[in-house]
Amino acid sequence: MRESFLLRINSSPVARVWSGVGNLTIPADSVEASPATYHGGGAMLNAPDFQQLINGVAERIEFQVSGVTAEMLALAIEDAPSVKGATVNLGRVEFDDNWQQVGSVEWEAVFRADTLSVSSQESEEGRTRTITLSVGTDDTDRSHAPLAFFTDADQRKRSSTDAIFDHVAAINAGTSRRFGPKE
Amino acid sequence: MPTFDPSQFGIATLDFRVAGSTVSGGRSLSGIEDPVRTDGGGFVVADFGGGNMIDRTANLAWRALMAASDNGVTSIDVLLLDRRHQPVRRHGPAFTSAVVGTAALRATAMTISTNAPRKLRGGEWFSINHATWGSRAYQIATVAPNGSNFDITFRPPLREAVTDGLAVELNAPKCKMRLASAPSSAITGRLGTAAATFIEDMRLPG
Repeated sequence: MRESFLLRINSSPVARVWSGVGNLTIPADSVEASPATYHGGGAMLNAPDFQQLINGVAERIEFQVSGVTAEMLALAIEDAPSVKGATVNLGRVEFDDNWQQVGSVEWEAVFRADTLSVSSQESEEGRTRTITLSVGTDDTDRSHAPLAFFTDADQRKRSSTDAIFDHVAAINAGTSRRFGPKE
Repeated sequence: MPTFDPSQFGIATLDFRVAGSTVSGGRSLSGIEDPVRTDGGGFVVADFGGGNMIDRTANLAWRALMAASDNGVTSIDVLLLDRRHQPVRRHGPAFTSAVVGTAALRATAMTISTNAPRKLRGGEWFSINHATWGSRAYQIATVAPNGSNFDITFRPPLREAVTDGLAVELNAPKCKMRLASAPSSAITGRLGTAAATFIEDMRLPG
């Protein structure tokens, strides 16, 4: 069995890369409205491990792509505004012994792009420039932690003028406070 | 585009191959390791070694080529000349080969017609000059006669779809490549030698 991985970033224009060599055209499916061509070669540097979201928690992973190919560099420069919040699909495609695609693409996970960073490092072979795309699991809520405590901070978050828990911070273990009107 | 012609340098050793990458599933309790290829077909690598840099012409031609290659950034048309293992004869007649029918992008089988002086056996290299991707080399895996034509399978997969009648170069296959490591070694002098490794240039054309 042979397999390769596809990365689709729904920026404007859409960036499509795959882990193989040369161009790969995949048929239309639930993600691609029409047959689309993915570009291979030196563009996609790694496809990180990710968890399937089954009763799980959202996770954050990073994709690394080349920092020199024109298509990927455009992500970090002219297309950058459309990258934030863009849907990122990671798919897997299988091939037979003659490198012909078997079945349709299996889209394994959906992420949402957050930040892009470009890093440039000196190594023995020369300078390496990569673009790191940080993505989070899509289709999940990213809510604040529940307001769990009767503290002033939590109450003011709920209602900013409510001072009912004003003195909570002053209460330590062993402190007793009198109730009722002041005498 | 500059052309690397190994016959200019009296190359002694050469090796053309399709390279790629695999992912292993790890070594199991039974000691077996299952690899999976993830590169979608691989790319062409050409090693040339033992170039004879004895005369001025060869030296200067080599230096000019290395200057033009810009440390591997500029792509070069590399002639995969290995005439002993191509279906050609020394001082043999000129011949033509062409694609019969069509083949899609990433196909690994097609039908060709050729009147080459020697029989196709498999293992030969051929190249096709694609409209967008330029000259790309492929290695024949299997050959089956089909009437007066030949059904062949080859690696790596086609870089671009081909149409009926497109020329197939079996005489002097050519591939768009770039220097893998720079600078390549060339020792000049009375017993000078040179060596270079090229890898297929897979940057998006244009």
